[in-house]
Amino acid sequence: MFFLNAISVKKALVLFLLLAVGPLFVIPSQGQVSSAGTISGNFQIDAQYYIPDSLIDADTIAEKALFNGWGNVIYSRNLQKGTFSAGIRYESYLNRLNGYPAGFSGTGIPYRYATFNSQGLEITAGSSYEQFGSGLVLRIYEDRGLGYDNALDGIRVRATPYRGIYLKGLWGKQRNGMTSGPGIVRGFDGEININQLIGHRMDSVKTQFIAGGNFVSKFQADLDPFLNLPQNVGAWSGRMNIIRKRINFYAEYAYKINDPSSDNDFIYKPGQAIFSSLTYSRKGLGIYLGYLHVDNFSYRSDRNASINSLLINYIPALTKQHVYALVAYYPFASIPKGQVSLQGQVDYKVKKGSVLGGKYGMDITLNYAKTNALDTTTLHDEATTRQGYSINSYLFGDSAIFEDLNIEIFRKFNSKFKMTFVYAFIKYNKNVLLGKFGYPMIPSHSVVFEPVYKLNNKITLKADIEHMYTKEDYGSWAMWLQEVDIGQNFFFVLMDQWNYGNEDPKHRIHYYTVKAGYYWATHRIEVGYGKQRQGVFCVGGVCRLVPASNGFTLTITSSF
Amino acid sequence: MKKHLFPIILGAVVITGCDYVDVPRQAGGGGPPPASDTVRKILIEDFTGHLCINCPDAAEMLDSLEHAFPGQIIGVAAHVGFFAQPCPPAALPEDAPAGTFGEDFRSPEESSYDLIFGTNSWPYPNGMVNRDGFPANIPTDVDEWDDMSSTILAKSISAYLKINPTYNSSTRQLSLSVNGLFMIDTTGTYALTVYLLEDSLTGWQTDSDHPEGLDSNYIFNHVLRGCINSPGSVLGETVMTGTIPSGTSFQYTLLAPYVVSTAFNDEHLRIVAYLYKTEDYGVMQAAEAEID
Repeated sequence: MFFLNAISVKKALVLFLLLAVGPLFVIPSQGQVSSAGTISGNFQIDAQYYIPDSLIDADTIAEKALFNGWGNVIYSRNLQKGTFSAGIRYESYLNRLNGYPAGFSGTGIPYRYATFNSQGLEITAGSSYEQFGSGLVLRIYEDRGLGYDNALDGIRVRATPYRGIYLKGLWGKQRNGMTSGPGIVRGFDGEININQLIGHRMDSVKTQFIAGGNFVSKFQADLDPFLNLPQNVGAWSGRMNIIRKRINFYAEYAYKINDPSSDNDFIYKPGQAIFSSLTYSRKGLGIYLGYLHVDNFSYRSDRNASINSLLINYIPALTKQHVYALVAYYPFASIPKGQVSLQGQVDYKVKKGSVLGGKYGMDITLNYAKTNALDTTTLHDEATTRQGYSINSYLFGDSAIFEDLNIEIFRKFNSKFKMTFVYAFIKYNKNVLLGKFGYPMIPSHSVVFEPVYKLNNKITLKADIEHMYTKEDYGSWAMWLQEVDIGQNFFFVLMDQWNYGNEDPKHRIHYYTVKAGYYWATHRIEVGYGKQRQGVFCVGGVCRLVPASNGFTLTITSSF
Repeated sequence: MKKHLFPIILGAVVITGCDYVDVPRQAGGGGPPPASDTVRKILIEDFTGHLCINCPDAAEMLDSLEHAFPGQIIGVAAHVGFFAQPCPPAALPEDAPAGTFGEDFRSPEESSYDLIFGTNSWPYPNGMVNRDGFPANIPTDVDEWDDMSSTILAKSISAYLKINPTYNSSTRQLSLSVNGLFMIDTTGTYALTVYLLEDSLTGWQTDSDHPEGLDSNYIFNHVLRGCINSPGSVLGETVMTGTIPSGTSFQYTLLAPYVVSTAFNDEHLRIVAYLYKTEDYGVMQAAEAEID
């Protein structure tokens, strides 16, 4: 067990200090450059004081105030024969903020590593993150806002044995909150850049060819009394990337052998996934087309894990990542069990000096995304082969899950005034995406105006005015956010989200928020008070529920 | 060495990488268990009453969890205490027509729950998730059920349970056995309790989300009708005690058939069984089965 509990934190800190700071006091010997190395890091504290509020269904918090905090410290040093770096991240959840994943509790150093890189070979011992291809088979990463961290604890090796050849290998266990999961993950990835490999003989070839492939296997003991569960489950993918002038084509096919788990109701059907994208870009125009087919492709290092725990792979979200609050009210969440997605986007810049573009031009983005369930036939073979279902086609199944048509226009009118406009029509299947039942498909129309006006050299005013119309679910919402930036150091925000369309008059609630922040050097302090509505927060199709709350917030960040 | 390192890693990964399974089902043991039987399941006991105006929130939470974790949430709605009394003797809620709220969904196990857990003095709605946190941290607030369920379900399964019921609808006699298997090394005394539940009962319910505050056609699910293997008590019967190595199995058989009351609609009945440690009442695994 590599993870450290609170008792061994002191030992770990001493060890790290010896490792990191010790070299500062060592006289450089032959083979070392004279630099004593550098230390860098960053810290963040998020705290909230909770006020009971039954009207918005805010949880009553026994501790009254909760706290998440973490700090990274990294030591790095250039040696004559390579580079060395080591780092730790101390994390503290006392107790974790309401809604943050349950596994994050207490304090400890769940992330620490040492890396040596020399002459095309890099070896990392300890915690590491990694991605093979687009992540369909393996993506080890973290997102602190989501409370997502599946860091691998073990050994990772990267190598460039020859120009244009890139190899990666890893072996370890995954992080699960403040502990580690029961499974072992082993993987290998190789990528060849043909143009680099052949060198100057390809200089005249304007097309770049990149091909890659990987194989990952997980081990988990079979303790099941009735089923013969595979203890070693392998998955692989092959990918290619062709780039010619303004066109970039990427395609990846991934396959997984039988992997019965709680995600797929313990069926033995192999999984597969296809991801492909085509982009075209020239000055003032960008076009993107994407296709994703996911069939029984949840891949975790614990077959009984759920939600965001111990995921080895990542299913990309083929939807626009909306940043405006009400447009993002109904966000898409990837469905590893099965989905078919299409996305298209056109980015166009209206020329400067034209009637529409004015002095600075105008940016227009038109985006469309649609996701349906798979087109399948149920097999009813639970007593025999347990394949579960068969695929009829690689096109959309009948059940609609998500659809999003949106347009975003940005125009700078003069040196002081600019504005963004957004319209989005979103159809959201709450039953599939949130695990609910009995809800109809939720259609919503949203509009956003975001004017920004620079009053003078010190003061900038920014408003975010949004409206979402729907007759379903909690009904329509309106929102006004007013931000004032004063110089380089202060900002002040007032916001109201109003659920005026709620069928129940007593739930037509104003969610007021007031925030203020101060920056100096590399530090930032933000304090706030307000009501937070219940919602879903997603990044790239990975989501967590955010409970309603009422209270004071404090955020401090710093780096060095 | 560098040129040999990656072929070695690749070879090791590929060789150890895949177990293809042609026959999912292990030999012997009768028909295949439902897939969800081989995962951890948790027992959520919802203490409720038709006079409790916020209790529908707990029922809604239970429904949400059942859909969020299909096959892994075993809900029991125990109608207990003041809020579960029929009217009369309890006073009618404001604006309720005379003659309403006459249903009595309480079961004979009400006093046993109160004796062990003090349920009748709890504020409602409230409950227990696998009885986790007993005694200091129960009851568990409804808002914490989802969080606690996620935490518990993230752990590996530690015991397996399978209910084998046989029901004669003419005589209304129910016979059953329960197969169990410990999947971790443990010590202590473990008992098995078997409940009879009824779904789809309708009646009056006070409801803060209802425009009038009253719902005349409220649907009650998971209603605890009685304990099958220790009527009047929630303690059930001891099935294993001492040092128990992983892989230890047991079969519990009901000694005499249980006669299902004619007051219950046998088309809407379910059986719930749970294995718990007697020292702290902590539930190790739960299971449910339909009555066919």
